[in-house]
Amino acid sequence: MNRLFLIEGKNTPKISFDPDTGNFLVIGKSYPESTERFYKVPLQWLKKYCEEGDPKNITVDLNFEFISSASVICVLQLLKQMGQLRAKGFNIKVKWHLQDDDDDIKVTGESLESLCGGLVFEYVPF
Amino acid sequence: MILVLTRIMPETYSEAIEEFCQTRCDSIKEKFAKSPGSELILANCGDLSEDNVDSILSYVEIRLKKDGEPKGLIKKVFTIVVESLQNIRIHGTDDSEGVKASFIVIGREKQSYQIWAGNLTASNMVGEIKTSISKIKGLKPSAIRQVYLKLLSFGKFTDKGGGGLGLITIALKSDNNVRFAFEKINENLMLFKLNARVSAN
Repeated sequence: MNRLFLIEGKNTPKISFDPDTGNFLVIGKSYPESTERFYKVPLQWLKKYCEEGDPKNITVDLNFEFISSASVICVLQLLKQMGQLRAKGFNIKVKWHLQDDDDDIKVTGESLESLCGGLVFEYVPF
Repeated sequence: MILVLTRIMPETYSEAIEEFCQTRCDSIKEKFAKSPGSELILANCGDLSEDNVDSILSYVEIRLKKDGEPKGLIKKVFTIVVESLQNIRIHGTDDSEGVKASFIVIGREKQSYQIWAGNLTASNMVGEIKTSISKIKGLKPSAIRQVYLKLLSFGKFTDKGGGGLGLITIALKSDNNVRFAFEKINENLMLFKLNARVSAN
């Protein structure tokens, strides 16, 4: 499969899913008005990858400066797709990046971790 | 400096609805003008375009940083403003002439920021909104967090959006210092208003 790459927008994150290296990255601000529409593309890509990809090591780097409530729903959907990959034999490592003093992002990460069906987050301060 | 984006309503607006929103917005602005130690930061009344949203959010972030507010406070205020604006844009009802009248006012009092937002709502939607609000009424933040997680666990959008997650997020960021109210405009339309307070301490 080809790599998925979405450039960062004024209120959308940069998304890079590279099936060759196993590096999956979502970084930036996420508060698009049409949240479902924006995240449809990476979700569909992940679904297809789940159907076609061969098990390997995947590192998911999530680094949100700001994330709206609607975006949290979509990121949870992304993580549940990662859970499907794990069920297929992929080794998934999730890194939740956060600034030391950003309790808000930390709590969001913990909320997502508690709901994404067994994926364990590594919290990476910067 | 105050950013006021109030614009003149186009002639196609329903005049009564225009006046309804404008007077609500004006009364909040007046309150700030009269209250010692208070400062109006931003007011926007009218149809809320995507460009307005961008301007408002950009201004809020720059202004609070310039005022030297701590990062955590800026984030809370910014979050409430984002969720309020998206509530207006996504869930606000059009009036009979297809205009989505609304207002947002942000002000600083001595020890807190206040955000008011209002949008039109179809009368037949009020019950559902009240149901969402009732889930968090009187709850402590820790209990609201549980409501938030339960809603989030559904993990999907319905035709009604995120199921009230935005309003609950506003409640979380304000430590449940948020009030909601409905004012009847006519048989089919209500004005939904929210007022959230974020402590600056």
